Order: sequence, then C-alpha cells, then structure tokens
Amino acid sequence: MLFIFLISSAQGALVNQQPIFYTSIDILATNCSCSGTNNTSVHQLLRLIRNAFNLGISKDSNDYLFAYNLFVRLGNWLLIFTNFVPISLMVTLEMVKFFQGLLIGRDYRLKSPSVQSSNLNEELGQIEHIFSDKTGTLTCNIMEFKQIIIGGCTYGALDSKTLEQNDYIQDEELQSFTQVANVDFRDKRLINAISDVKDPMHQKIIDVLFMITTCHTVLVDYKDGKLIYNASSPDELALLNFARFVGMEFQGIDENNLIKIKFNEQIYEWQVMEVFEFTSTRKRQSVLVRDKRNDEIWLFSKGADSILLDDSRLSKKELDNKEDKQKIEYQLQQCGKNGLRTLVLCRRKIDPRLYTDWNKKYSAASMAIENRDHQMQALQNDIEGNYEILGATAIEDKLQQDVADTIQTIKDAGIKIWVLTGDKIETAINIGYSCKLLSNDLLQHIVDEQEEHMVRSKLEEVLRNLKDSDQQALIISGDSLLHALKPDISSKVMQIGDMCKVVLCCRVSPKQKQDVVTLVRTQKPNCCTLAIGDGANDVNMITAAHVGIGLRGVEGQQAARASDYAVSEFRELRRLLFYHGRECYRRNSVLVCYTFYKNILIVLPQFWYGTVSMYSAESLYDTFLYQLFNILYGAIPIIVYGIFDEEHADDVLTENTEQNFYIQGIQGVLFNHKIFWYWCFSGVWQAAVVSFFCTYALAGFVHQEGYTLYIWAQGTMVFGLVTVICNLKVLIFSNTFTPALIISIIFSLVSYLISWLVVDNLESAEAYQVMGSLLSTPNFHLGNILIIVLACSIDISLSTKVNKQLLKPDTEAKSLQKKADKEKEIFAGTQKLGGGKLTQQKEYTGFVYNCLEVEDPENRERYMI
Amino acid sequence: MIICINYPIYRYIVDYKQKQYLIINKISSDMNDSKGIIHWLFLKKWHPVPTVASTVALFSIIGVLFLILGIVITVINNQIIEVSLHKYNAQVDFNNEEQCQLNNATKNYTCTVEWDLPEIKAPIYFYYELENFYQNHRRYVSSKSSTQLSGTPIGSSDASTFCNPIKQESDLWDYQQKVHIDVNNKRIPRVANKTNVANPCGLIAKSFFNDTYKLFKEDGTTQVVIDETGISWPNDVGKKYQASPNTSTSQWINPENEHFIVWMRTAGLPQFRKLWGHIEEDLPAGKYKLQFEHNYDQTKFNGAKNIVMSTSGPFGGKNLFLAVAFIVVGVIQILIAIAFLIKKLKGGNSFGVRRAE
Repeated sequence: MLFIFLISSAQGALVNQQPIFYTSIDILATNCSCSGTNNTSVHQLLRLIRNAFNLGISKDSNDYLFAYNLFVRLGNWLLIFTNFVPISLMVTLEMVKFFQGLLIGRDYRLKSPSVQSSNLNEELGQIEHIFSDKTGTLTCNIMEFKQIIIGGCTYGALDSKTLEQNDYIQDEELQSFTQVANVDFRDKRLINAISDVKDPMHQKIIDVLFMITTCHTVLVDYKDGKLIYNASSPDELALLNFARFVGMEFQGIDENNLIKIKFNEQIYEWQVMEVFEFTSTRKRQSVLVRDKRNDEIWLFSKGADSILLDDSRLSKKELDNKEDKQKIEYQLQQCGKNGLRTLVLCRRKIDPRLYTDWNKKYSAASMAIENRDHQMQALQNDIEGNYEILGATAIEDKLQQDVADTIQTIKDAGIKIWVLTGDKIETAINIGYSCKLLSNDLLQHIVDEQEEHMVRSKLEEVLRNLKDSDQQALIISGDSLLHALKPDISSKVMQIGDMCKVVLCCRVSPKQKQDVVTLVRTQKPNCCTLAIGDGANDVNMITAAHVGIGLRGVEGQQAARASDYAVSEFRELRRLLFYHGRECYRRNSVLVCYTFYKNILIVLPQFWYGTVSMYSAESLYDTFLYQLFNILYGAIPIIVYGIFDEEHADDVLTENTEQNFYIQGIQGVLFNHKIFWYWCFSGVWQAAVVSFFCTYALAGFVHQEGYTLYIWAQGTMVFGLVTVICNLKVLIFSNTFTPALIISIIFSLVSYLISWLVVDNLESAEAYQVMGSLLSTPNFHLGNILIIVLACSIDISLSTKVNKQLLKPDTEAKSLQKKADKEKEIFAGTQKLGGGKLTQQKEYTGFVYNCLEVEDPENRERYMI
Repeated sequence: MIICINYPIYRYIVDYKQKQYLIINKISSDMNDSKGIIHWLFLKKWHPVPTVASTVALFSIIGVLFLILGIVITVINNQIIEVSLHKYNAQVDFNNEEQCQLNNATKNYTCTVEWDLPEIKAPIYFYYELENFYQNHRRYVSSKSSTQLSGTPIGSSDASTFCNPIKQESDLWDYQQKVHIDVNNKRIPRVANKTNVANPCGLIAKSFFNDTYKLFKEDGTTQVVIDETGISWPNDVGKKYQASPNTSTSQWINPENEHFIVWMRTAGLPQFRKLWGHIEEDLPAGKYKLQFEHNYDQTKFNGAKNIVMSTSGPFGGKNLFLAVAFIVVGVIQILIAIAFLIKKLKGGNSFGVRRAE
C-alpha cells in the first residue's frame, strides 16, 4: 500500500511538473511549454529540465517547484490512502468477539459456561498444546471398588448389564447394606457366599476379607459415634469400605497392635507383628500377623502382579497349578483394559520356627547402624515369597464422563496433550490407560531419575531411541523435571516432547506446572497453548498458558476465576475447541481479511482513477456518502457473519471424524501472508474493474437525449458498485445464510439508497442532482449488471468455499486414503522396527497402588478424604 | 427434512440428517418459548450447497445472455451514424489557416471548413470534443463556488476558499472582463472592476469553452439550424445554476447559459464530448460547410478540438466499450463454466457428490 502511495504521489508530482493547462492559462500563456500527450519518461525528463528554467520566470507561483509539488501531492494521496487503515477493524472485531463470547456463554449444550475474556475466542481454534491437570479434571477424584477376583471367579462388574438380573443388587436392596462411600459393588453372589457356610467359595472369601482388613495402614476415628477410616491412600479406603460393605468391619488397631475385626456380630483379633510399607520400588505392601484364634502366623501381601505373581515368589503348589495363575493374569489384564486399578492379594503361612529365626535377624537388622535399610529390605524380601494366591481387587478411579473419547478426539486432531499431575508415576500411567491417553501401541519413555547427570544421560538415551512416528509417550517425574527444566537441558525435553503424542509429568508441584507451560511457550513461541485445571494448584498453569480453562469442580472456584473460560466438565473442552474455537478462528480471520479487502475496494478506485486524472489525487466520492461507508453500508453483514456463520454443523465439527477440521488452526492456514495478500489482490483487481468500467461505460454520448455524464456521476456509480460488491462478497464466502445475514445485506443496500437520495438533494454535496441523470442513463444499469456479474462470478469461481464444495470431495477422499495407507505403513513399520522393544514392554495390567508419598502439601490435602 | 429454495446461484439443501433435524427441533421449541424472532433471525441456518451441474449451467446461461446482449449492442451501434471532424481548426481553407490556428480569442475570427457528410436522420446531436483536457484534475474539479452559481454573490474570502486560483476579475481573461455573455450566447459589453470577485469564479468557469458553430449546406447560404437549447440535464437548469440579480453588470456570463451549464459538469476523462446543440432535420448526404468562431486556444493544453455529430439509439450514441465488455465478460463466464466441467471430467464420479454433513 505504501508502495502504491509513494508511486502515485511521485507520479503525481512528476506529472504536475508539466505545466498542465490551467497553470499555463494562468501564468505562462505565452510560454511554449506543453503538457503531456506523451507520457514517456524522456519527455518527462525533458520537461523537468525545461521547468527548472521556468522556475526563474514564474516568480509568484509554487506550481513549478518539484519539491513543493511532491509535498502537496504526497499529502493529497496520503489523505486518500488513510482509509486503507482499517479503523473500523478494531471496533468490528471487538464487537464480534464480544458477541461470540456471549454465544459461547449461552451455549445450551455446555453446562453453565462462562466467558471471562472473549478476546481469546480465535485462539481456542489454534491450540497446539493442551496442559491438563489430572485429579478433578480427568478424574472425578472418586475411587470406587468394582470387582474382586477370588479363586478364579470374578465378582462384581463394571456395569449392571454384564451381571445377571438375579445377581444384581437393586437400588432398593442397597438400602439394607452398610452405607459406605467408594464402593460400587452389586454382585449378590458374593454376599450369598459369605452368608452361606456351605458354599464352596465361602472359606476363600472369608480369607480374602480377613486379608483385606489386616493388610493396610488405615487408622480409625470415631466422629459423632460413627466409624471413620483415616486412610493415606484412597485405594485402601475403598478396600476397607468394601469389606465393611459385605459385613466385615475393621474396628481399629490398639496400642498393642491388635487389630479388631467385627464379623457376624463376633470380634476377631489379629496381632500385627511387622508392617512392610509400600514403596514404589517394592510395589507391594505386607503385614505379618498372628491369628488370635489359632495362633497361626500369616504373611499377607498385596501389590503389583508383576512382583507377586512372579514365579520365584509363588509357592510350589501354585507353580504346579499353572492354570490358576494364567487365569488370574488374564482377568487382571481385562481389568486393566477397562481402566481399573488392580491389586493382587497373596498370603503365606509361616512356620513359627521360621518366624523366630527371621525375627531375630530382622530386629538385629533394624538396630544395625550401618546399612540398615538395605539389610532390612533384604530380609523383607526373604520372607515375601512362597505365596499362595488369594485373589485380586479392581478399583476404578472414576473418570469424568467421556474423558477417554474427548482425549482420543483431541489426540486425533493433532493436539499434543501434556498431563501434569501431582500423582506418582504408576497412578498417572494407570489413569493414562483408562482415559486412552496411553495405549499399548504407544512406546513409553520413562524418565525417573534423581540426579542431574542421570537425568541428562537418560534424556539423551531417550533421544537416541526416538522413532520417527509420533506413536510414543514421554513419562517424566517431578524430580527429573526439576533438572530437566534447567535451560541447557530443557531443549532436549522439548525435542522429545515434540515427537511424543502424549507427555505425562508426574509428581509435579504447581510451580513446576507453570514452568512446564512456560518452557513450551518459550521453546515454541508460535504455538498456542491451553491449560485446563480445576484446583487452586492449577492456577499458575492456567495463567501461564495462552488460554486458561477452569473447571468448576469440588475443589472450589479459584481455577474458574483465574481462567479465561470456565466450564464444568472436561468433555466440554471438545465443544469449546472444535466447534466454538475452530469457528471463531475461521470467522475472525475472514473478518480481518475482509475488513482490509473492503477498505482496499473503496480506496483503490481512486488510485486507478488517478491514471486518467494526472494522478492529481482527485477523490471520486461524495464526502457524505464516503463517511458513512464503514458505518452503514459495509459494516453490519460482516458482523452478522462473524457471529453466526458456521462451516459445518456443530456436531460434525465436535465429532471431528469426517476429516480433521481442527488442523487448519494449528497450521494457521486461514490467516497468513498468502491469504492476506490474496484478499488484498482481490480488492485491487475488483477496484480496477469497477473504476475503469464505470468511467468508460459512462464516457461520451450515453443518453438518448444526447446529454453527457460527468465525474460525480461516475464517482457515485463507482461508490454504489463498491457497496454492492462488498456486500455480495459476504454472501459469497458465507457458509450459512441466516435470515439476519440477508436482512443485514438488504439493510446495507437500502440504507445506501436512502442516504443517496438525501445527498442528491443536498446542495452542498458533490453528488447533488446526480441520481436523476444516472438513473435515466441505460448505460448505468447495463454497466452495473456487467460489473457486478464480472466481479462476483470470478469471485465465486475462485472462492475456496465453492471449490471445496464442488471440487475437493474426491481429492479429499484420496488424501484421506493416502493418509490411512501411510498410517498403516508406519504402524507396520513400528511393529517391525520396534517390535522387540514393544513386546519387551509387558502387557499392561493396570496395577496401581496409590499411596501417599507426595511431599506437596496441596496434594497431601487432596488425599486426606 | 429438505428445504429447497430457488435461488439463482445455489440450491440450498437444509439439514436433512436426523441429528440436525433434532437441533432444528430444539431451536423451534426454543422459538415456542417466545424468544422466537431472535432465534429465527440468527439460528435458522441454510447451508448452501452448489452442485456442479447447476453451477456450470448458471455460468453458461449468464455467459450466453451476455454474449447475446453484447451482440445486440453491437448491432445497435452499427445502426448509429457517427461522424467526426478531427481537429477542425487545422482543416480550414488555406486562406485563413494561419488565423484560425493562432490564439485569436479576442478577435472572434470566423473560419469555415468543408465537411462531407453521409445521409443522417434527425435527431442529430452536435458535440464538441476536447482531447487532453484534464477536467478531472483535483484542483480543477473543486475550483468553483456552488453558492455563487446558484445566484448568491460571495465575498472575497469565500472566493479564495472555493475558487482558488481564479478569485478576482483580474484573474479572468481580458475578453471575459470586457463582455457579458447572456443566456442566448449574445455578448454584451460591460466594464469590470478588476478587484471585484470574479463572477462566476474558479478554474472551471474561466476555462469555459467558447467556440461557436454554424452549419451550412453546400451552397453556403442555406443554414442548417442547430438548436442550442435543451442541451443540459433538465434538473440542472434553474436549480443549481441561477443568475445573480444584476447579472449583466456583475457577471461575465449568465450561469443559466446552457453551454455554461454543460461545461460546468466536469468530464471524467481527459478526452470528452460535450453537447453543443441538436439538429432536428434530416441531412441528406453531401458537402457541408461548418463555420466556426475560433475562440478557444487548444495549444494551451496541447490538445485538440473535434466536432462529432451522431444519431441516437436506445443506449445513446455509439459505445464500443460496452459492446466489447459484454462479449468479453460473456466469454469469461463460459470459460469458467468450461473450467468447472473440465475439473469435473478429471475428478471422476465422486466429483460434486454432496458431502454428508
């Protein structure tokens, strides 16, 4: 634009150098200088030189001063071209964004959404990275006991349908049971087996229940006379509540480590002798107890199947009977696939003599000064073995509704998800599986080191092992992250993160959450990030990301208040991104381009007209009408478009399965230099068509009565056509036509006609008494048809919308096919290449034992239920 | 639910899938909740889906129509007789050639030029045409005072605001200071006060074109009457241009003079025609003599003065531009249609299949 401006003003100054007729009439009537019939540069140069001599002659005029002319002409063109600056853009955009925000806020398919800053509507459509909290965001933060596997028999089910009607505990019957939280167990078979002593499973079930009620670290509290469990781990809480639910109540442990268990109105007592606590390396917890009834000593263990079901730890009897083990492994796998957290329960009967021996060593070890931990662990390890499998439990960490689906869609759309959680690695992985964040075909890179050099070397190792496909996941712990976020290492993390579909950051503090977001923002400055969380600990992260989304959850309003958009559930993110965000991005980018286009279309005819008016910067338009252009004639349809247009129906976009509708925002294909210049160019050529066609259509003898037309008639025709064309343009690129859009366009045109009528009778206006002569000229009407059809037809044929609808389907289908083929190839490739690696990774079974090992006080609070 | 709306460009097929049907139901149920009109205005949506056939058909129909229109205009153009006398002051007899080409504005020198004309039927419109005269220059266009032209005298400050650089009588030509030209183009002598505001002031007025013409048959005595009235736009006379109260002394030309009104409507292109008169009798073919008063010096703008006589058709005179433009645009439409067709043929069967939404 500046270029055009400079060229035209310089040209204007140069041309004006030629003593054009009126100055020659005026001053140099006798001078033989001539004006340009021939605008060749040689002539101009000659004239320039000649005029330099004229300088001395014309004392009283500035008209021959090159510098003066340049200055004046520059100013004239500047005045004309100031309208390129789309002052209306900011107003329009802000208005549209405000209304878009209002619409998002009133979307009836979202649960009470609220929009805190509508400025970010279009950024919702360009999200490349999502940072999500886990607890409360992906999960409901509720553990529910679902299944128990005893002796190859699975009790309980994920939903009512898999159980037979007779076995299902109906809601009414549920009232007769002990009311406990965290249990969703509706299998009558187990209840019956407990009450029926003759049942073959009876004894096994009782054993398991005793095991569950003894092997834990839960404390008991009485509040208002009611029994309350005080657990450090929600899993243990769920287990104990389950036992209570079926009738075996843990009543506490006294100062002599005597556990009291109430069952069938009888109190059973177990003496706890040792407790081997859970650690993430041991992946199991054990207790040594003595049954007060018969003084038998038992070792009860619960933990990961990978440890407890290891051949080296099982008793001979179990090893002989391989079938049982395989059966339980299969059942565990099924549970894992369903996203359940499993614990294997084992026991070992210990010979009193063995115990005395072992106890001696153990107490010695516990008093050792050197190497105590190591010695104790070795002894624990010694005794934990020779197991007899009791069964397994499955607990559901209840996900929010549709989380898995939402995450799958988000991943498919090409958005990278980083889950930042305060949980331990196992818990995070478990949740990762249950919400489809992780799957067995994703290659997992786990970085869990304490020391900086270890982290560094581990990251380098991961980098070496990286594959080309993005079927990988990075799982990194908070301790490693502490080092990994240091400036020199962080680029490596980013490199790995870039190649991974999913990144899980475990045991991170709120500050680290923020740091991770900042890391991505600094390393990839052009990518748009979104953070979603529900608690106060997510506020840092929410404010650090471009777009912050707060969930109104159980944890209070802090996150929702700090966020840009507040919703109630994670799954609403889908509608927010794929429908609202995507469409807002599309509409707003069109709106910006259109505003520039509109201003070019209205301003440039005057430049084109300059070519026939000596670049004298003559304005073509009536001042009054011109002032109203951006307010009345060209403003409203684009606002209506910006608020209400939609390319595809909301459900199609939200599903995002037909094709990846969202990718346009990530790639930024709708607003870039190419698109912008395309719009500008379309303004330029349409302006040229309008300007030249109008001037030539109305030139000469065009009226039946012989009258000729004049500059203001041509200018008014140009103005009218610009108004019509830029209004029709909205129709051309609109995807949906709402009555409001059509009415607004009609309003624009009618308001133009009315104001023209007013101006036509306004004596001081340039367009005074123009309408009558224009309307009686047939060429005016013919020219209108000609120009509108020409401009619009070329616009339509170039319009991406029409081309998409007319021409793309099969090419799209082809590209989709290609993509699918390629994915198949890649998949096959990974299986071939990384086969070894992948098969080495043990099939996921869903073990997790959520134990409080979190130093973060906020997280600690969270687990205190 | 399929709603088809006959619209020139597209057939609109609305949301036929069950799912969207539900949404529409939802909207309409909302409408029943008496927030109706807003929902109808904004949430009732048509998805226009063009098909290849309709698009191609539409473009080719427009193309054909335009071609036909272009041809019709060409035919009409051919029925119009337009004759022109290029640079008439250069074509005069040898005797007074010199006089006629000089700047003899004050002398009202009369020259004669011979002109071969074909047979022309009335009404014939008589134009003068100037070349390389930039009536559309920014400074020129704005150099006039509407107030003054509508009969209200203006002060010198107004004159310098609107009429720069022709403000005073002394800025006008000498001959303009000495005469008053009345409505019928008669020159009445007057004495100008050089310090008075020029009336009418401004560049447009000063550069008023003042050649006059008479047309004679071959014998040189039978005059063909050129009617000089009714040459300006009817709504201009008496409304926009009105004489001052004492026009003959204060004004150098009566603004109600039709030639003046025609001149004041500044042309949009550097080569322009202005209506000078019309002849209401049929002219048989033959030689004619054009007598003109050579007052206007074309050398000042290094241009040319031409005479054009033309008959009129429904679209006015000959207009080559419009005829060519219609044909070209028609061809463009057909080319677009062909381009779509070619793409369709290349695209195969799935082309243009409506994508399920």
